[in-house]
Amino acid sequence: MKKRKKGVILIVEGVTEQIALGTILQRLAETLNLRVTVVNGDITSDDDSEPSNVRKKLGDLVKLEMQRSSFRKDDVAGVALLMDTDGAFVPNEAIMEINLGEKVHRRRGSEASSNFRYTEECIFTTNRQKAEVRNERKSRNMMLLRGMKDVRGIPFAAFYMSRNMEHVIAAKAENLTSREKSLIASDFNDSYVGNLSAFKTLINSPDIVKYKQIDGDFRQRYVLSWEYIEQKGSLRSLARASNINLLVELLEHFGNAQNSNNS
Amino acid sequence: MMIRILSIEIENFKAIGHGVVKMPCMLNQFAAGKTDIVGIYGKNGSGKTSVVEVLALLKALWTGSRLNDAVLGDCLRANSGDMVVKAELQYWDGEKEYSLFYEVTLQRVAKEADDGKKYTGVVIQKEQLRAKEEGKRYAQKKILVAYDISHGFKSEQAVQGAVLFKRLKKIFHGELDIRLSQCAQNVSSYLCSTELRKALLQVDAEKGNLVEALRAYAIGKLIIVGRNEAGLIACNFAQPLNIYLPGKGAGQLPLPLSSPGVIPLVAYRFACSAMDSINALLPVLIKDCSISLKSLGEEFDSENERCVRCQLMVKHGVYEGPLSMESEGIKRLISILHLLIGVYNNEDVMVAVDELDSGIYEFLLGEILQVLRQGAKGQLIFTSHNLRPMEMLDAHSVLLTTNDPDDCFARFASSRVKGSTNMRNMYLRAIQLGEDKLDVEANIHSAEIAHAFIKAAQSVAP
Repeated sequence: MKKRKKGVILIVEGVTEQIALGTILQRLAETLNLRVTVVNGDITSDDDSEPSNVRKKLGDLVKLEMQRSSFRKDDVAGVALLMDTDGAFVPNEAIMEINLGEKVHRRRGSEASSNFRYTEECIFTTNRQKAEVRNERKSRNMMLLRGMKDVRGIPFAAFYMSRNMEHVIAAKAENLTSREKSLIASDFNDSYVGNLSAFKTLINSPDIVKYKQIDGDFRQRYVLSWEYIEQKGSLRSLARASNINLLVELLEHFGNAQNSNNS
Repeated sequence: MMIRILSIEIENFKAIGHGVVKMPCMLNQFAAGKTDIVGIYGKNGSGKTSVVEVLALLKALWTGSRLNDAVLGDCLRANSGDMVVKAELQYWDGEKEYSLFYEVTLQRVAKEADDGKKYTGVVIQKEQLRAKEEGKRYAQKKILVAYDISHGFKSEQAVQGAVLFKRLKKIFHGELDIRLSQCAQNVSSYLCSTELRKALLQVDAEKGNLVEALRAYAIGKLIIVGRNEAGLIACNFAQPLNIYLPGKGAGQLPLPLSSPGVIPLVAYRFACSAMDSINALLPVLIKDCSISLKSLGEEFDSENERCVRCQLMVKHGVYEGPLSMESEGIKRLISILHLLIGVYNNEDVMVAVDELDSGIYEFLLGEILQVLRQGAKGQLIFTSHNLRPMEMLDAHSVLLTTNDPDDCFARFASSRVKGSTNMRNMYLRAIQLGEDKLDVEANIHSAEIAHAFIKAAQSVAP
């Protein structure tokens, strides 16, 4: 007799996150069906994302995915959001204005991220004032979202990758082209999809888990992990760190709950 | 006289290990006047088309046609048992009602063609037709005709059967077994052969008439639109205009599209008589669209038969010209339209269409199926990938292919489909999340697909 699964909606910024993590996370929780929503953008830093509307934006994304998958509210165990920190929490002193050289014509629609260059110590940008506004908006939006306990009545949690996914999974701090990112994502999937315990070891390693480890319930540890990255005046959101070990823990929790429900 | 198919059971054919296709009329206790439509849904390669192919096989057997055994040989899987098809039918002649049970067994064998080439073919190992008179107390399924080429004609324990057997033997002067094995090697039904039908009528008119009725049904009422036809349209070679004329029969005219073609006068008249009814419906479905068959004069073919050189024309808005210029979807719709008219109006017509949704505008497809569900008198079996019809049909009308080769077809439990259930949404959830007692999960994950797209480009040699 076949048992019904539960759905989980995982919202990620780009297709590389989907490629690198989608299949691995799906394999970690076989009693769940993971639907990966690729935003192709960043709901925390897009120009039209404000603290006043970012929660609604998240709700709309979830609503759309529910419609696309035909899931009903009680089909979905939870919604998870994966965000790059992109140095959002660094102090303004860490934002440096530089001239990126002669102004060359860029093809319309080419990546806007080239206005930023990241190191582990600072953000280089062509327009410091704009970058400060963006960081202010992005950090506030991230804090608002990670504080949400549910979205459209479905349990919700947000997870960060600092400074971005490539930094976390491949220790690459440099600025990469989209082709390089694709290859890293694809190779990462290939390395770990057949070795899930190695994946878990990696994301639980001290290189990635930087927040203080305590015995406590999930929510306590979740808040602690965020407070680490958000710390005022620090450069932590440019350094390598992530709390996706908690995402895996949550997926396994949902999966186990599903097992005990069915048996 | 009327025959309707109640169920088809298939064993060991292509992807189907075992599966039963029951018509809704059987599930609804034969409620007269109820719609009898089945839409078959499922993944690619899960056995949808096989159902239509099996119906085509039954039609060929019952009309006494020779089967294409080289093709069939490839459809029977090595290392699995013989292919068995069982069909249950309802027969009503205005006074008596019978349930008919037909069964055929095809065996995979190595054969040699006339030119000496070896190939895998089939032989008809067994064939059987049983009947049960309904409405009678203690009625039993009685064998009308049965044979197994390894044993010859079987005589039923019942006296009638034995008598029939003896009398048939007398008619054929003891040559029965030889004729039988010839038929089996030629891969055509002996049960429906001219010879046996004539003999049966002589020895037992009532039984003979049942076999006659089965044959007449296969010729005139059981109409198959398979994938070959869809293929024909796509290559713009011929427009198979499918026609059903009550009392005159059914047929498929391969009328040339790109250039005028020559067809027998009989066929031309047959097609002309269908034009008016097609044009009554076509402009309602596709605004300002109508077709005609333009005669370019009579001629004689090599066998001195009267023929007509003709061309299918279309008038669509301001355009007027050969039908070949129309879109694939319009050609497809025109190709099957006359059959749908037949299904809507005639209780005894069974139409099976593979890929009904091929090229047809989703909304129009949904509306047509809604109209058929509400009012069609005949039977319709179709396969579709477009899920819109699911929103329009009753739960009984939606048949799903499963992941279980030993139980290939299933329906949603009626307790799960409530009045307001949208079955399309229900199906989409079932293939992602699973469904109690229904093995239909698709196991398709977008992350795996996205990754494979990247990998695929990497593996191209520089």
